Amino acid sequence: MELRIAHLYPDLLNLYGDRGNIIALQRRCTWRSIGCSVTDVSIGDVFDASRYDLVFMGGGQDHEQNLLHQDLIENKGPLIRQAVEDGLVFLCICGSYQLMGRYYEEQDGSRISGIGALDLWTQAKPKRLIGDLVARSDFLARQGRDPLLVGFENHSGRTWLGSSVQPLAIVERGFGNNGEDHGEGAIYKNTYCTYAHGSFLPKNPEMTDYLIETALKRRYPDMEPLKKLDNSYENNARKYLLSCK
Amino acid sequence: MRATVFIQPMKPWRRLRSGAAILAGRLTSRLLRLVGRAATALPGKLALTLAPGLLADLTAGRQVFLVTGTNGKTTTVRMLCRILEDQGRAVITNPSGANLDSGLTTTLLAHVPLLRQKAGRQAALVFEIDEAFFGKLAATIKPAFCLVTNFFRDQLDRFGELKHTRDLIAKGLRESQAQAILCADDSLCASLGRESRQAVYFGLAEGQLRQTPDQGGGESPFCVFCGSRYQYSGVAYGHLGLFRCPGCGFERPEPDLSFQSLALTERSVEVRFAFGGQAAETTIPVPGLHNAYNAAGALLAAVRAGIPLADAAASLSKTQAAFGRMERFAADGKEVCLILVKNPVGMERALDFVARANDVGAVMMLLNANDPDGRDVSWIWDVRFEEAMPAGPIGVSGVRCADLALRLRYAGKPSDELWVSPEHLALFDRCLALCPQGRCLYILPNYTPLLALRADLAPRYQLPEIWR
Ligand SMILES: [Zn+2]
Repeated sequence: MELRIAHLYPDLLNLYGDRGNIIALQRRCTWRSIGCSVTDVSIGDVFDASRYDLVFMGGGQDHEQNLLHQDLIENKGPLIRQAVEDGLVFLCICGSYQLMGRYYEEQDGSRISGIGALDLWTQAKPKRLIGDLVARSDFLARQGRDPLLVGFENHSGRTWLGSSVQPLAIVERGFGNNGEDHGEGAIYKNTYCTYAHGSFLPKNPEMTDYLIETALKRRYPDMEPLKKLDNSYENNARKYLLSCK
Repeated sequence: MRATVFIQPMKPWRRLRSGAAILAGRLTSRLLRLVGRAATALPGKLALTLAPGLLADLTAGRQVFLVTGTNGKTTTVRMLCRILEDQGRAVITNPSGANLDSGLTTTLLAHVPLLRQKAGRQAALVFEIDEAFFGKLAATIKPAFCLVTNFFRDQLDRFGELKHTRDLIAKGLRESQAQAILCADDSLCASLGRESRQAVYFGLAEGQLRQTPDQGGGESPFCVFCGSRYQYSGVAYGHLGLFRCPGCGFERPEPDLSFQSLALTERSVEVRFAFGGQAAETTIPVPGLHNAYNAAGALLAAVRAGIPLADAAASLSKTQAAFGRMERFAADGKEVCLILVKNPVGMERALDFVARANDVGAVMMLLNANDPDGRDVSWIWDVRFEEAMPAGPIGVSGVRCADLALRLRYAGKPSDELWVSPEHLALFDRCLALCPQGRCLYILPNYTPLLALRADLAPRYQLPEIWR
């Protein structure tokens, strides 16, 4: 068994330790003797969705996001929209979460178009939303997994979800999508988006395992459930964030 | 009021107002000291509230050097101060950490008597400035020289963008009209040359830049002017190297002062500097290639200020490490070396340094997430621990020790070699016990755990006061 990961724009969308998410996916596969390959797909590279089980996109600085915008929207956009509809597993964080939506509206009112894969949109505000984030996710709870997601958010965009998109989780501490409706992140089909950047997956092992299993099951429908791992290091790191008030 | 305080003529009401603010600020400093509190910011803050123009008044007509950038500010300032002091100049500098307008004003308030003396007129002011406040301060203070060390990703939860930080500094350079002293090998830093009419550059000699198979560019691989990906024909570390933009032709400028590192040891770096046909060799007792860069920056600033190259280079050999910057001290027949790490490039430099050291006896790392550290610890996932993991057990402490332990675990460190505890002193004792006699315990903390651990160790090992 092998998990085939596409890392989109790793050289441009790499803020706040986003690489940690790839490391977590790799480690948790290899600890279970599951193969794991990571293919970097950047500007000018062909994105062939059929070759991957999971697609990861991180967040970037404005300067870098501007550089990839044309390639993302014109070349990869239609393929990404189709892959999302087909149920390929995506994890998109912060900047790329915003780019998956319809548009990003700057403070001066000008709009930057998004891929439009998900019915959501973002408006920039002067005050950045920064700090630790704890949110409760129903879909993890329904599967008997630890429902609390922890992370750190840092964004000036306020994201609003259309009716076809569900929030990933409900904020218990922090701001989430917009600081108003308590929603954090987004789910649409097998696409998962969050503002919890950086080491999101390392500190949320149940979410990581859920993504690995969901991604693998599309290609290996008869696979056994994933072996349990010792999560004591992960839980110690979570404990710190969960105990702060 | 004595008119000699101010060199430039001033309206009487402004002079009066400044005078009152100086009195109030100095009184506050004295009161704070009486109750045993350090006066690094509050007196200045108060004085600036009373007289917003005070900082401009106190610095007017004096030779001011501002040092900014992400890494190496404190060490660079220390080197520059040493060079100037050896020339017989009175030097006023701010303690590291007090690098906003309030900290600078507090520092100057403490030196008002000196500034009023005749010798004080020749005093050089050498200030370390926070990157985010540089623009505002440079415009107020009107420095003669601005030295920018480098741009690495640091404290992103505050600034958001390296490019943004670069633009803030660009604005300060434009408004101050200062002479810029810039790192040629850092594309973001070198790009500031367009903002200063008389920029000069320091950089590593070309022969010393490694040819690397990868593209180079590290954290800022794309041209700041046109967005094309830089091509690198040699790399020092991180994104420092021989860059060239194929899109617009922007390339690493020819350094006015170039340097070669002749020998790197655990304790020093031996450097050969070349400037305008002259050369000077010196051994700097602050090790690491990054400190050779800091030395080159300080030296170029000094030379531009009229100090002979040979004199300035000789002064560098007498510089001691600032607290926590490769600071070494003896401990029970062993040594301890404190290496402050604040960001991914800093951590990778420290890991590289430890990997090359011949005297490693044990290693400790400490991570906090207080305001001075940056509240976001995600940056540890950008550090390539996988490629430079110290051998043997690692003591892991700090408020966020669990995050750091998780990172090291995911980098492949076995759990029986991770000694994790938030009790830094007990863990220090355990690590020092592990360290063989005659060897060195290397400690890599970020900012606030460095202060906390050092404060606990200071009485035990008679460490000098942090604020000199
Ligand atoms: Zn260019």
